[in-house]
Amino acid sequence: MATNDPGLPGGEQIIAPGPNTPVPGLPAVDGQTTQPGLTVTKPGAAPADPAVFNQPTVPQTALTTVQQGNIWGKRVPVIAVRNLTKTYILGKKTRVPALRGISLEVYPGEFVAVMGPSGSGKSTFMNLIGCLDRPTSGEYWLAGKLVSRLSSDELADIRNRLLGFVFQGYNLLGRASALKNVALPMVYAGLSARERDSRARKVLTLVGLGGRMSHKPAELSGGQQQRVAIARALVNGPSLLLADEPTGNLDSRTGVEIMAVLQALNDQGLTIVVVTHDPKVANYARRQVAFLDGRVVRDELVLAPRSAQEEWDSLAKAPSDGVKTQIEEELP
Amino acid sequence: MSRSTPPPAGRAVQPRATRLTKPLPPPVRESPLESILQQLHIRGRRPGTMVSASVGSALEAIWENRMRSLLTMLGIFIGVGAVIAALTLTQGASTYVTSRIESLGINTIIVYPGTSNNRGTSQGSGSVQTLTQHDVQSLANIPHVMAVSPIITVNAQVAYGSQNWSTTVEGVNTQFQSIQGWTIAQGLWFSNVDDLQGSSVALLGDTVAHNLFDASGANPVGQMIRIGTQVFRVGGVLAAKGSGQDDVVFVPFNTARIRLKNTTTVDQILVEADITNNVSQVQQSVITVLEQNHHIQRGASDDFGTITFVQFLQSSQQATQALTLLLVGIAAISLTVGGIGIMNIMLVSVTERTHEIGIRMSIGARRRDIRNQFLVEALVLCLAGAVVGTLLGLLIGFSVTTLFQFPFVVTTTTIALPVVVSVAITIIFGLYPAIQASRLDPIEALRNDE
Repeated sequence: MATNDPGLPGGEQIIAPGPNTPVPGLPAVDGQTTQPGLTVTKPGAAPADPAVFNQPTVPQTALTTVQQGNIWGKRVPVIAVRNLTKTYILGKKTRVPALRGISLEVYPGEFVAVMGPSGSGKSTFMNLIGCLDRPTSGEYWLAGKLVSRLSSDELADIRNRLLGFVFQGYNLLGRASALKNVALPMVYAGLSARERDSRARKVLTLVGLGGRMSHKPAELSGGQQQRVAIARALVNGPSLLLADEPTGNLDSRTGVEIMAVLQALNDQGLTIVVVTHDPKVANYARRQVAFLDGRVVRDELVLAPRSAQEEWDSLAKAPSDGVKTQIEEELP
Repeated sequence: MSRSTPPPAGRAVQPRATRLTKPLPPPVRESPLESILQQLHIRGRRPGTMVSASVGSALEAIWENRMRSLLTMLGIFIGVGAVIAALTLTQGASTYVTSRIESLGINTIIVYPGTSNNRGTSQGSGSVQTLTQHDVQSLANIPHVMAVSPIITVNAQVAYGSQNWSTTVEGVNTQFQSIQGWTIAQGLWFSNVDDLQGSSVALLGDTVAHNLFDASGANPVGQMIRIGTQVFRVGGVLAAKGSGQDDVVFVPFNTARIRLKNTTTVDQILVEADITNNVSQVQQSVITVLEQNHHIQRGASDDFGTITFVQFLQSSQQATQALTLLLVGIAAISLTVGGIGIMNIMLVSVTERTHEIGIRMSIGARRRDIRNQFLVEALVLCLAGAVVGTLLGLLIGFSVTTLFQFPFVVTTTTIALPVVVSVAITIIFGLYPAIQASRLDPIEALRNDE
């Protein structure tokens, strides 16, 4: 972490990332990567670099998405959807409109939570922006590409190169090691075995699993499995990380840990969209988009997003038994 | 995205304006992760990497279900093994028969006395002795005839000292040696003078020589033996020809005619044509000449018959072909059954691994990637079965041909045919499950969570 200079204007770090250079804000690999959460702040130990890991959220007082677009005017929105609709046809005459005209833009570096109860269309929306499905009508531009009318093979390429998925159930291949799971997207990208291996190692190290590369999912904890999934999502250098209830299968302590990883990635510029029904999870995001009955009913910036890292730090000090209830009590 | 330098603790709100006034030159704006992501960002696709990766994942999947894979492989294994065993066997048999016929002389025409037709009742071949020495001389004048030899056959007891052996004694002329391609291990073939004078000289086949002389260890050449009641001098011993042809004693034709059988007729005549292509022409001439000699009317049936080894060869080859077709047909059926087995298992595998297919699709597997993965898996199963089956087939083929003392013949076709057919069958039967897998909807597949 010596490379990090907290005094740099804008909190930016200019580091040439070599294969073993830990990215600031992400756990370092030091042989003790089994540490929960972001490894730099080990429980009981002094935070190695509080300036990086305990960053307060950026105030976003008067900003709207539109203004953000203006500020980074040269930047192409990662997601731009216009009048997106999706209607499921069940049987002969039953038509179920799941999305009734969504228009939305997500700019690079945003951390958006898509919220809504079940049936609100948020899952449909996720499938559409995840290029797993095609809209009934409307346009979807992903990183400047119109993807709403692509063939299924072209969508597969988009998923491979521009998108990274993190699912509730991790969705790792059970019989493959963490390394092989992370290398899998690169297989479909057509990289050589050697390059796959070195890249997968690099990214696994990035998410703090440098010491568990040969473990199979069954030999990893839920949080570790989700980190593998995050590494797999990152490995092809996506423009967008899509997380569908990423903490849904985790206890709240581990959930905070994973959110801290996501926040740290976002701090480093990764665009993230989290789909969740859980308002607590949504509060880690910087922007919340609420769905109801296939429409966006609310789209606002979070004035003071929760910092998962800080919460994890305080949790780390708490006794580990009865964790859940304590968290519920301690955290508003 | 970029955050301003925070105070070390707390969530102090920093005025946005401060941040906005800052110049944001691109290199500064790019965080380490962004540059990593940019490095990672995939641009090109290198062909061929999919294949090795598919083989790897196929091997994993097969190993995962070892027992099931083994049973699936068994179908192809048995099929390929059966085809190869059948092919080596029939090819060995065919080679054996061909070589035997060729050792008898492929250009040879055998003339045998015909059947007598006694009031409509056939008396069987050789029931009348119609061939004469005159016939032999006439046949020698036919164009394209290289050699002619009469044969008189006697079954007799041969004895040397206390050793006895019952064998076939054939009276032949000097040309007989070249017609049947006999080579002499010791001594000499008898001369024309021996034949004219009816000398008591005998040439022993390898089997006979061993049976008479092995016990005493004496050198057969020059020894006196008894054939029937007559005493003969051993003029030579023939080199072994194998395949049961060596249990024979040759004596000069006239010696046999006068001293062993006392007859004026000839049991068989061997006619050798100069080249194989002339055999049937010579055969026709032989028939014409003998019909003239025997005064056979037009339309009447001949009192002799001719046979050539070309016909033997053709009929034996036809028989082998029929046998090969039959065996390969049966083996093809078992290969097809093996292919159905592979299809069955692949369908099960696709159903079981729907979730995995969903995962692979979500991270960028195209339809053809999924299809190829399952196709490669089926092919790996098939090839593994085919390789083991090939070894087993060769082993069976080797043991059986050795048992029957056939030559062990393996051609490229023997191995290539079943392997190619099994691969083709696997592609045909494996394509359906693979396409099924590739057509899955990624969302549905992902939802299928064990």
